Amino acid sequence: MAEKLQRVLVLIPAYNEAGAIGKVIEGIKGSIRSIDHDVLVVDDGSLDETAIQVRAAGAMVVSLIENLGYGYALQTGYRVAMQGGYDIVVQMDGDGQHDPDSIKELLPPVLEGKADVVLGSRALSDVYYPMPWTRRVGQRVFSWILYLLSGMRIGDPTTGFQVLNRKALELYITDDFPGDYPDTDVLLFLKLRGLRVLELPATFRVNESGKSMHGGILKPMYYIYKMLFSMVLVYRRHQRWAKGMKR
Amino acid sequence: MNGVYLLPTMHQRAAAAFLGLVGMIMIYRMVRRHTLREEHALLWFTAIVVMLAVIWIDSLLLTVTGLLGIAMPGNALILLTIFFLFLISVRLSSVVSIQKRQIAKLIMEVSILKGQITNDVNCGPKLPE
Repeated sequence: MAEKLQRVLVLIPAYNEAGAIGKVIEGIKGSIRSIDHDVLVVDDGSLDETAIQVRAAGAMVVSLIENLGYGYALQTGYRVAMQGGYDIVVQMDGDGQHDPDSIKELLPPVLEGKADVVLGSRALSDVYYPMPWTRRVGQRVFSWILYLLSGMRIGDPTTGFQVLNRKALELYITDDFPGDYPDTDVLLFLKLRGLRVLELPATFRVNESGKSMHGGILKPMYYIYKMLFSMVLVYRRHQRWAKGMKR
Repeated sequence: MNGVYLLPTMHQRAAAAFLGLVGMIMIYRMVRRHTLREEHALLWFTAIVVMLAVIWIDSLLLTVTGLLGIAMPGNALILLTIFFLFLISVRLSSVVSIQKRQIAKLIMEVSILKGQITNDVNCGPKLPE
């Protein structure tokens, strides 16, 4: 029996990435030429020419009419993937941090049905990725909480480099997917719902633009509060869901 | 100290009734002009009616004061007012949160639909329909 060819969508949320997005798309096309895929960029209300450059690079684009933030930009892409009947989504950043060559390493477990979600990890990679010590400590703490609540050991729980199948997509398009900072709380959600999450090494490049969604003083503080609260909520919601109770 | 002597005077009660009436008329007019929904007006009407009842009925005010463990009825009235304002604020925060998600969903759907149309116009790669 001939195996059904799986449709792959590379999803890139982008905000003001006119300087980098063209190269990112070209890099993807060059790296996974052998795999039948489409590239979709969700332009999160950019003020620059991100959308124009995406079209020029030959990728699909959805331009959000207002800036909604990273989580909602991703969810827009998941909705397109569901509507379009894609089987697998490769999710990566638009600033060139994620090396497209790593996609070939991350895809097989999902293609072969051995995992539902594969995380591209800085922690497992041989290539050193410089990170402020505060962030490294934060990552360790969240990793430990995740282990405590789910028994799952993930070294890089804040990675945005992921490959996921339709089973994960179905969960990602629900209201349980957070609109801001979908990170460790989503991994906990996936694990509690019985999805198989695998972490594999991936190459990350240093973000030359220096832009970060965790920059400043207030954002990291909000991130810590939000993530801790969100993880507790995910855990409690799951307990109630498992008992068939109303959330 | 006997709390009975610290109950609102007739003057204060009349002032409260007047302010309550003005508040109710204001809310009614806002609902009539579609600038406030009946659902949210109910919160304000309830707060005004309860506050007026507590101010006008001595036994009720003294019961509330005793239940809260407060010495002076005036302080109990202030605490009750703060509590109502807190409830209304929490309710409105909840409405804003629900609407934020609804608006986000609308923006996502509209943007996808717009993308399906404009990508055709710009001869870019077509989005799945």
